[in-house]
Amino acid sequence: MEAATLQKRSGAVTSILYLDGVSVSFDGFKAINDLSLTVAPGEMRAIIGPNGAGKTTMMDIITGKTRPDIGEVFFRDEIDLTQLDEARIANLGIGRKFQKPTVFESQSVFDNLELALKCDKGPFASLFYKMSEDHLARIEEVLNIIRLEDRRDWLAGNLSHGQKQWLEIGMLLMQDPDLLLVDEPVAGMTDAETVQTADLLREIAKTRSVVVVEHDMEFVRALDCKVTVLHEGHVLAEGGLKTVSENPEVIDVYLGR
Amino acid sequence: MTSQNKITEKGPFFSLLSGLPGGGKAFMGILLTAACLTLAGNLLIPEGHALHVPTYLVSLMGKYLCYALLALSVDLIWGYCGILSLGHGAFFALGGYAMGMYLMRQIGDRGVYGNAELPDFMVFLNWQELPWYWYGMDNAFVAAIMVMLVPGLLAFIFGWFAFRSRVTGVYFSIITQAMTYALLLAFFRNDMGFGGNNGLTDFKDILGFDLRADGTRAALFAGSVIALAIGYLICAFVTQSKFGRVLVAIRDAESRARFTGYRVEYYKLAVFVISAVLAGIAGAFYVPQVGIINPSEFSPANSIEVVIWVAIGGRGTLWGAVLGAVLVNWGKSYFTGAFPDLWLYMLGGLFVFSTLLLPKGIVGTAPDVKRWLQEKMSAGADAGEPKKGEA
Repeated sequence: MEAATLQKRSGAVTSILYLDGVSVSFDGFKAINDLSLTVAPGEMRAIIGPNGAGKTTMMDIITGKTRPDIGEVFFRDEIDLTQLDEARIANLGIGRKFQKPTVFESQSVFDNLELALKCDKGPFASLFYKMSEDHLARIEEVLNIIRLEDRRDWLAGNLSHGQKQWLEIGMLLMQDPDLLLVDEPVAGMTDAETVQTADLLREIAKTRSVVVVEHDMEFVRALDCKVTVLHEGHVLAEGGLKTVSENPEVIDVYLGR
Repeated sequence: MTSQNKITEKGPFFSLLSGLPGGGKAFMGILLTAACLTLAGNLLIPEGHALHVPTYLVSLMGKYLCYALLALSVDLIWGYCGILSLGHGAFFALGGYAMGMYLMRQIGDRGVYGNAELPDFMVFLNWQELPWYWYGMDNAFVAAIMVMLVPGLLAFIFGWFAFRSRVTGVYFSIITQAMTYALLLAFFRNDMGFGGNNGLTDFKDILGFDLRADGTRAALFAGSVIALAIGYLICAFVTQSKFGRVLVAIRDAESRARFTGYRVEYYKLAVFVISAVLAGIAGAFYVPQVGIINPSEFSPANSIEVVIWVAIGGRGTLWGAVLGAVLVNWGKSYFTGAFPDLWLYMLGGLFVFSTLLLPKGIVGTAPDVKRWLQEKMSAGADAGEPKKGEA
């Protein structure tokens, strides 16, 4: 705690995301129990844990959907996320991908990306919005990154499951976030798609911080990054995948089963 | 590239001028042609001629057009933003009451009691002076402002609390029903100062013109046409802008829209207010053409009926809302005359039918039928698979 305060005073951003002593309970059930976690700028972090470990609730807290009962949540060392709503947090630079791919199904791939584009998102600005060359170029760029160039005019609802996942990641990129929270990006994907997605996320992580929640150990191995194991709303272990997977406690609650 | 993208690149205003997609151009053409023919048939062709359009028919059509504008306003929030308001009749009625107040003041001393200051019902209740909220309503300009301001303000306050508390879906629909029912009860009370059970009626003039004159009736019809056309343009502008795409995004995936950085409650509030104002304007044109406004306009069933028009015409298509309103009301006029006892069953049956068999409504289903016919025709001749995913 003291170290963190010092860091905050020093000026340079030392953590992109900082959770300290966060707890939240629903009807007496402690979904998150004294959770502390720090993600450094530019870091990629994988979060694993059995069902009910609190992974999704943690994302809800970071993105403003759920308010913690106690604890601190800071973005870039000084922005208190517990006071802000979802739209504010999204515009600050935290993008979130849902577990189930969630795109705007009755609109085209192009329009989906356009809607996610980082710009003034107030009702008046939208009413009189006119697309600039820069914005068009940015959409083209992201279409290229997520490999959906030839699907640009398709309705998002007609895409395959894997393509929807990519489109959603593309929408996050359009928001130009500093931190991406990605919830089970490869669930339901084919092996080939899983490999491509790992490549995509590693590419993204070169310029941004990425937090990935995942069950698929092969995929986590492919990401090749620091791993945090959650259990019953608490951090059980942290470190490289190899260290973590040799931890007896982790084997007991998660890997051993 | 889809037409939508092209529009975005050139800006929303350009698209409005260059071409209204979704049958918009055809709609404007049909509306204006039909209106001109009706007016010519009424004013230029002498009575007794086979092509003469009697004045009662002109007013009846004017009434349908007011309903069409009301349907458009419901479609804007329901079809595009997924907000099912079952209380939109309240905004319509409030606009109508504002107009009714102006028309009451126009009567002046020609009422039964000959009181230049107070409408008849107030004299009857032994009131000595005009309540404060009637001040200025003898001025057409003030009345016109009130027609838009009152429904807009109510929608703003109601929407502010509902959307900020994230009341959605059926819960929202239910509280809108409660809202219109509460207003119904309130307006029934004599001491509200709106004529109680009888409402406002016995109108004489509008802007100094005799309401019973053919010319005035024709002008009111023309006014309804223009109001509907402008309402349509506003809705087209709103739905084709990026704002409109955000509305659809909210309809389809509200939480995604939030996490994408949109303040969903502001969008909902904005479109709800626009919609309420349009409904109010529809009510204001409706009242002088039917000659009365009373609390029954607030009845919850009225608001539900509007939703049925939109569902049958095709929600999410502006044209569909208009078509549904005109068709169903034409049917209502005809069948309530021919089989008065059966109408409600038919309306209910129509709703069940459209929900089960035409979930996209008439306009929404038309392209499917066309495609189906084309496939039938070209079957065998062309073995090529149609591109399934193409938007």
